[in-house]
Amino acid sequence: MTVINENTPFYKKRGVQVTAGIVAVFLILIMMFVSSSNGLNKQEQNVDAATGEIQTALQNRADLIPNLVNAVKGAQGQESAIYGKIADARTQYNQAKQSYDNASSQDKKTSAMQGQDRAFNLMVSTIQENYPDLKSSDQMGTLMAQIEGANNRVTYERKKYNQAVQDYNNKVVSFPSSLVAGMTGHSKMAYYQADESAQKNPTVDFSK
Amino acid sequence: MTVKNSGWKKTLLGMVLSLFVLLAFGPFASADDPSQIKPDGENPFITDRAKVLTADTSQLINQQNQRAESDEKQPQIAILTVDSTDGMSIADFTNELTLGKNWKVGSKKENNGILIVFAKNGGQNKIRVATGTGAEAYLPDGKIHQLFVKNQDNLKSQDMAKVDQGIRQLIQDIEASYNQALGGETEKKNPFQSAPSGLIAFILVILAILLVIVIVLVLKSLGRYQGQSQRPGSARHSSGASGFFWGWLIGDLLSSGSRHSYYDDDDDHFGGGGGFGGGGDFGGGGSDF
Repeated sequence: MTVINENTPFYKKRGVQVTAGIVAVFLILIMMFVSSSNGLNKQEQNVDAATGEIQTALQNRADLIPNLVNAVKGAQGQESAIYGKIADARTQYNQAKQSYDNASSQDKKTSAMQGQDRAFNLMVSTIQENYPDLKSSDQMGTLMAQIEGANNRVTYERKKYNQAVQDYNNKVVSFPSSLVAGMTGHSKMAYYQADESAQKNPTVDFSK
Repeated sequence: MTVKNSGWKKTLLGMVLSLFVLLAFGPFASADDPSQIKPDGENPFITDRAKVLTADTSQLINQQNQRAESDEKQPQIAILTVDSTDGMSIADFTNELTLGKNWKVGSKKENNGILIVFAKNGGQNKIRVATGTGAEAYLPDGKIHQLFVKNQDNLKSQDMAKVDQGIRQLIQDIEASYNQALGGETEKKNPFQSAPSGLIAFILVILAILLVIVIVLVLKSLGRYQGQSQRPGSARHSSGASGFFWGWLIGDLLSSGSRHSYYDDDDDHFGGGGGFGGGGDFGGGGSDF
């Protein structure tokens, strides 16, 4: 026997259940949005941290140039032109470093660091071209090891950086986090490309 | 009326076929692919794939690692020998090793591991000593180079016995130089180290699952209590949806929190104690010859 208008408990009313269902779905969507957004931000922080590491490695490497310049000072016929070229390259390096410090976006930072890379390689190749007969004395061997070590640290940090960027970019392009990325203003970042001139002069070998 | 369900056979066949294809055409990683190389199962510190090292050298390394067990300031030393780096420079090869998760040599706190990689490379005898960021201060690149030069005759010899001797002498020189730089600094290891992060994550997952089960049971019992009089079907319905929601919520929060990138994973390959110390930060430091 059906009783009309029987007192049904609040939570059993059809209207309440439908509303509860909609609210639940809403909450789920919000949770998904928040977790995606957090994931993107966390990945962005990883990229930021990796950038700092590269910058440290770049700076430590550039700090070796004065040692290199001093080492070649005693060698045959110092032409002031060489030092002029090295000084120009040093200026380029400092300008690139300045761009990095003033950079407003990740991609600007990356391109500034690539500039630092190029300037360093220019300094090294200038010396290498102009002192081809520099004998590998013990002191030169040690300095060479230090520069190669510094180069390797830059390579290592660059690999870590590119991995962090790849993880971030994957999140930005894959569904469903791509939707969130669009809404929160996250876009793909550029990779840090190795400087081509470095690939032409892979090692600092003064014995050649 | 029975419905003949031969569909399951097709599904099974499909699964078997795809499994076969996966296994047959799986990734062909060469044996010397650095990301695939794992430390030796018995003694992770000595992975002598090129069969160069003798018992004397092994003993030297083991002794150093025993010292490192009780004193955090002493570096762990691990060595890997391979026949070939497959065209990679030994620096790049070592970079790939240290960027992965299998070679976390050195104390986690000090990051003072030393990884030596030797590759025959058709007679070139390339050798690299990679230093963790905490070891660099005591063993700078320039110093490593000098030690290479000192031992170069043995290291570059085509006689493997001489190479082994060279490596042994190199390790002795490294230890001497390192200890000189340390100048007597020691740090007794705390036996009650904090539990590895993997264990903590595991415990959290168990607790979360228990929490979900409790919530679902509570909701179910509420539903059962109040739904006895009328429409038991809809009461089951609502508690099911709540259970799903909570399960999903906790699962997703946990999963987004513990996502590791390939280079970030810091699990100790051997679960601590007797294995590597977990010091993963090599930073590309070191020198090769």
